[in-house]
Amino acid sequence: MLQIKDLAYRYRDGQPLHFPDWRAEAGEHWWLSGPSGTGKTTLLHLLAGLLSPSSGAVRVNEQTITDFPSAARDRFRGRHIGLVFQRLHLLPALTVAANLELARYLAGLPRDHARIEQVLERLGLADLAGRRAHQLSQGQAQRVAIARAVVNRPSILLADEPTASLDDENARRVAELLCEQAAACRATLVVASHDTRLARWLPHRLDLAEGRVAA
Amino acid sequence: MNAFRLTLNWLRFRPLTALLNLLLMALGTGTIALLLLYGHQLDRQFTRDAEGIDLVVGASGSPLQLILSSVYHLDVPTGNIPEQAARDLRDNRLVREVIPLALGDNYRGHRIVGTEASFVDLYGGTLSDGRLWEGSMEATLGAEVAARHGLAIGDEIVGAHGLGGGDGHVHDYAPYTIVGILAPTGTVMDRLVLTSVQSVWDVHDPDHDHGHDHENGHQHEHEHEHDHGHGHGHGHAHEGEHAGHGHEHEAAEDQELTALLVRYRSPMAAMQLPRSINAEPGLQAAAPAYESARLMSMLGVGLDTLKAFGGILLLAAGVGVFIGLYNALRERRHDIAVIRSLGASPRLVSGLILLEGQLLALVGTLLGLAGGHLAAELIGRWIGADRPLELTGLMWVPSEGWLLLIASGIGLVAALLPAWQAYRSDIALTLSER
Repeated sequence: MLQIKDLAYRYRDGQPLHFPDWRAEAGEHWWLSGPSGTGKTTLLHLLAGLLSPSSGAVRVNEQTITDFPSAARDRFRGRHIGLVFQRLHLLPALTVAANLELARYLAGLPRDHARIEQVLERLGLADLAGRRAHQLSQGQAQRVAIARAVVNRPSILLADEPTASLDDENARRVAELLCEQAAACRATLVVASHDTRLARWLPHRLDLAEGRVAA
Repeated sequence: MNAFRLTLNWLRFRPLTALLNLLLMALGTGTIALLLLYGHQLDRQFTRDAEGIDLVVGASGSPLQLILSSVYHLDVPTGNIPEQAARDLRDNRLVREVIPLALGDNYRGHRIVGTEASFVDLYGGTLSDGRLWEGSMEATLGAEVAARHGLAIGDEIVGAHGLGGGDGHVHDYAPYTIVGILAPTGTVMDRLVLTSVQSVWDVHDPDHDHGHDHENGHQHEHEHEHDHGHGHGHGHAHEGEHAGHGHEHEAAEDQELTALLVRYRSPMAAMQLPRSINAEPGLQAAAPAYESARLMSMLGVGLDTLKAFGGILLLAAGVGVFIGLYNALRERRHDIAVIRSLGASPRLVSGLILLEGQLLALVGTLLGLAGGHLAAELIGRWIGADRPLELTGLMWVPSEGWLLLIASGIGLVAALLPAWQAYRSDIALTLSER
């Protein structure tokens, strides 16, 4: 479950962003839409606890993470929230498997090679486990980024513009992967994007331009 | 995966930068370690060679030269003193022991020292083979002399004039018979040929006058004319009764010695004896402890200068680590942001940077210490055959422990700013970069 209430964020230059109250249930797949500048990425970062709001609250699994001290919020994020960034951001010094191991280590979870193998297998990455991130193609790296986001079985999966600059075929694959993996974890999936192609896979939509939940 | 493995992977991902930092750190610490080893062993050797000797009495001149020539067997003596001085000192109630030294010749660079058995006791010497000298023209070899020249009991050696190399006049008419070989003591005695004072006198007896030339490059002054002038150089008494080990000493008036090693009976002697000896014409008393300390302080200036150079290298290494980490942080800002997004606290992220600084500093220091010790050992083996100082890398100087602490401090300081920047990094902004 994911919920925001009276949420606002003020940038250093003073520009305030107000977000509509919103609630997403476990297992739902949401599309966070709106043109550039409406605060899609900012909201995603607020949901992940990467930013602290100037007012309002973010609740995840009935816990108000905006009330958490910084260190506790970091721990909570590592354990319960999976993130997929537009620029992938794999650690190039590490192998594919080590990127996933790192996610478990930083979340304070025990080593679980079986889980890592399972996720890599499911995403068709089993043969690439020992390869370093910088040796991967764009498509392979995209899958590894998703694998890392779901390896801890998060209850919330957040993705920021995951299909930007991808052709239709690759965009479809990424969207399907995200939905499959979110479903496998029974996670709430929230994808921030202005890519209208995603509407097919994401039945729920929060339009930030209009400040309301769209049908 | 853990913090240590992640840091190692980061370092391995930029091997050249890491290698350069390690090299700089190793150079600095290696240089200092080598100098610490050298200084420590020099000091230890000087202390060990002078241990148990409270005072050295010799001919007037430079007290440091007297100590160097009579205790460390490095320099030429200041001259000769009458044997009567030894008898007077032995009668002095403040003196426990007087060990006479008669120098002048060498065997292939090793000094031939006319002395008594108490000289061997002074350095805690024990025999590994044979016995100590007793009769005239018998010699007992220091361990290193025997080992280097492959000498054994029953062999004969001949001395040559001078105290350095073997380019002086060779006394082939008066060979020494080797009757004993000493076990290694780690002192100057290992490099000496020991015999009786009488033997030294016998070799230079006027009856053995062969009209040889004494200008051998060692300021050698062979006083066959029984001249007791105490000029700079050294000489030998040439007549007199036997003064060697196990013999009664009935010396004639004109016999001479090079120096006397004196041990006090009581601490009071330190107050009175040097003053009274220095008041006598032609004699001087020098305290090895004082002169050694003076020498070490003179050498110390040079060592300190080199250590300062090592310190500069170490600081340069610190700057190198700082630049390396600072640049790495810029390159890794996305890594840092991702690590934060995966649940790492700012404290953990800055800890990773500090750990990297510590790893570079400590591994570099360990490499430097290993290199310094290896260099000391190689230099020791290289100069070992020709120099009196024994240098080895197979020992640990306690102050090297400080090097680890200092290097760790440098690594910490070098990593502080990058760590602080990592702590304060705006991860949301970095992750939003398109």
